[in-house]
Amino acid sequence: MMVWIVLLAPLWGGFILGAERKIRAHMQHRMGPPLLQPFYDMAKLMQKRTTIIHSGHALLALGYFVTLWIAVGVVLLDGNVLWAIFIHLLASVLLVTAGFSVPSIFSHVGANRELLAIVSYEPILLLLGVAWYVSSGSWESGAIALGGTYWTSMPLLGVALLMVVLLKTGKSPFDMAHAHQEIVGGVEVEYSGIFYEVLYMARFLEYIFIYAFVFLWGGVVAVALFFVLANLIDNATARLTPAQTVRWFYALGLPLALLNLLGLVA
Amino acid sequence: MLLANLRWGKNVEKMRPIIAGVFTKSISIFVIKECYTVSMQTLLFFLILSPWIMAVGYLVVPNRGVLYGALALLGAGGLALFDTTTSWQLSINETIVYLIAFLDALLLGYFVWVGYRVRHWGVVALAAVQIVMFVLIEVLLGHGEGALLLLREASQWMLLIINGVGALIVAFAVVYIEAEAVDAVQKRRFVAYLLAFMGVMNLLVLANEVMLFFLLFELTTLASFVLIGFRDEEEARANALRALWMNQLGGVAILGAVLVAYAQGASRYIDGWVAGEASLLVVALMMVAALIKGATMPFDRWLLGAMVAPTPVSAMLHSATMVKIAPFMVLLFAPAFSHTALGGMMLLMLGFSMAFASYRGLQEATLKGVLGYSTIALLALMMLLALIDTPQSRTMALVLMLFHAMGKALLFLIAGVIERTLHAKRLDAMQGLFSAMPWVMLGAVGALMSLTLPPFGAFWAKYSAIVALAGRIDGAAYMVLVLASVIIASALLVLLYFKLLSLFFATQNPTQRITLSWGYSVPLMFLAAGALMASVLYLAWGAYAYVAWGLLALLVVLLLLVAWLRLGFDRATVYGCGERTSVTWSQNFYSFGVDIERSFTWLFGAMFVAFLVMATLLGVSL
Repeated sequence: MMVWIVLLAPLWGGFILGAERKIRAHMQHRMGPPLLQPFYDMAKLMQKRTTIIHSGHALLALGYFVTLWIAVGVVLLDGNVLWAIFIHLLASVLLVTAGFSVPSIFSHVGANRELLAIVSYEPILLLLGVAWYVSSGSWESGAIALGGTYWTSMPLLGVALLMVVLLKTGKSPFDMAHAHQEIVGGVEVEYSGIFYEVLYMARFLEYIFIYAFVFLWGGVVAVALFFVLANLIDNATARLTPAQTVRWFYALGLPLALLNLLGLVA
Repeated sequence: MLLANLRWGKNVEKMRPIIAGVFTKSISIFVIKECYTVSMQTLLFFLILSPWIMAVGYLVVPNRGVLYGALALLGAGGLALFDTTTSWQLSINETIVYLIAFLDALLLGYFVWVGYRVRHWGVVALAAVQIVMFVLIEVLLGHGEGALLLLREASQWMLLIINGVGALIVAFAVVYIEAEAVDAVQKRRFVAYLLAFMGVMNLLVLANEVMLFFLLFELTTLASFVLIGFRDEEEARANALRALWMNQLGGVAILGAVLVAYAQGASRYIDGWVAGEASLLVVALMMVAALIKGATMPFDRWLLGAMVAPTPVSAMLHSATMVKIAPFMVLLFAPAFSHTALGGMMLLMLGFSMAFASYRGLQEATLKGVLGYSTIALLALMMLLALIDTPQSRTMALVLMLFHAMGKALLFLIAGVIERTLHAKRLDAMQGLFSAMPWVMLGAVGALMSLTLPPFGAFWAKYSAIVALAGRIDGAAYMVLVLASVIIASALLVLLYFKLLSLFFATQNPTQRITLSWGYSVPLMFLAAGALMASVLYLAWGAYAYVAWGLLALLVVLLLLVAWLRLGFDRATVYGCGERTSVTWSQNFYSFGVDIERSFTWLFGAMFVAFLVMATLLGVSL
């Protein structure tokens, strides 16, 4: 079954994104777009004329997408979670490189913010991996899943993970990396047509990737809860600046993760 | 026709030294392979002695072609030696002991003179202290029986780094120094210093008798001092003196270790010390020397000051070879104290040091400053891996040493190229480098990736450090802090490296293409190819090979596509949301502010003192 999830990952991601828009709209007493809106967007983007700035820029987006897919595959197919996190890091750096490779101010600001996002969330994900290793004795996601859920043994890491989910899925208050009203999508701004489509689908993959971690932490219930919570928080808060975001992660998220880990080993 | 021939002839004239170099290299590997089955000793003596002969030779006859050939031989020697598993040792004899003592005395006397000449009383005092300790040692200590030189696994890796990477750096230095505003004799001397330094290093990694080790340790300090001060400017002189007195502290620590070892009845041989003769205090004093050489916090200032030296010096001494003495020493002594409280304390110091150095680099305004702090961070990681002392982590420390040497040497040499062609040292002057020299900058991006990201070798070290520390975490709460430091540091290093790309690519007008001379580009190519080949070879052995191969293939395909395939889509200029503002690109810097940094410096000082106090308490109660 997992193989199908991995092979069709962008498809599932599209559904999740569609569902999310629906839920958020209901929270705001709106109708919202149809569930399949992400796929309609996809079809429309395919028909657009594609223009690119230079080959490297376009291909790095493709590299980002493929590498991200590999990362999703590693975490879902019982691979090593550290590996998944680091391959995801490689993907992110390819995106950053793409952002820097064109002389566009929004693209550069977006890439810089992407780097700050990495600095914020990566330590927490890695500490979560270490905590799983301490509890289950394995780095493999299959063995970690067999160890049951971690609601009771890692509650603080759960909170830190929620912060990471907000950041990775571009939710307020930690949505500085894309921040459409401010930097018009950051790195995305210089893409069009098919390559923008690739970035759009990569966003689906980011959802699958981070929610796979949530699933490992607390099963389906946690995924559902985090999904609703993330959208509630998104609706209820305003965006923080990049500096504030980093401060929140280092002053709250990281200490929580460390405390939890200390509790596990002491 | 004649004209064409003439031009061809001129090109051949330029090419000849390079062709000679490459050719000699391939032949010499074969020849040396045939020889060392007969005598490995010959090969080792060749590596120890030939740098000195080359140094003298270049002073007398500065022929570049001959030098390239000799360097190729040296590199091949390092490679050939790496390929063996035989252990080798040379016993001590009376004459050599006196020779070592004589040279030690000469060197310490020279330090006194240097200090006196510039009226730097700290240097004089430290040298005087060393002389007193040295005389005591010579009076008190007998020689005993033991090995003067010893070939260990770590020595083989070091010899490969020193001769393989070092030879390429010297080949680069010969061309680099041509453009320096000094007279011809000084230029020859510069190359000769570098070569002689290689000779010192080759002997140092074999030394087993501790006074010989001390002599060579101090000689590397001397090399640092001379080469940092090579540009006779105010700042260079001040930084050279700082490097001198800080590293002299390391020398004092080594002599202190010898005296304590004598008082506690140990011999003067490092292998004996590690096997259990020496108390923890002796080991701790040796580690103090290592921490200073590795510029671990709070001793970072000498290494950053060293960045005023000509770039090949930074590449050779202050990133690829000399500072690697630090992890090398930790590799030697780790079995003696890895699982003690002292080892735990040092792990903590190294972890914090790695995190703080990666953070501190974020506010450096020069490329070499950034590279300097990242070197300190990665040296701490190497020492940390060595100190964990499992077979796997020891190997990973060595792998990281090799990959770091290649990656950093490449980056430093590129910094040198930028300095020579664009006369830029500060990052904000480095805009749009990518369009000026795309291949060189592609190499720089590759080197940055090779130091942080999968599937390259340095990444495996980072990964193994996390796995190894997690393996020792149970019941040891402080290990959580070490682990957190390494994890935070690795995230900060990603920021530190890749924020540089912002400037490398940034420009709105295409810049003039710069072509490099062969003397510059060939060493760069060798280093880049070496790093890539080593990655591939390493992957071929490693676990998770399928994922790693996939990633490597992906990267290579991407690069090839970028290089050759011009995608058949219409081109557009940047959209920038329709805004047509002119942009001044600048570098992002990140800092908590000076106060917090000062308190961190105090923390490192306190940790260092705590380390010494712990060592004294544990050492006395042996």
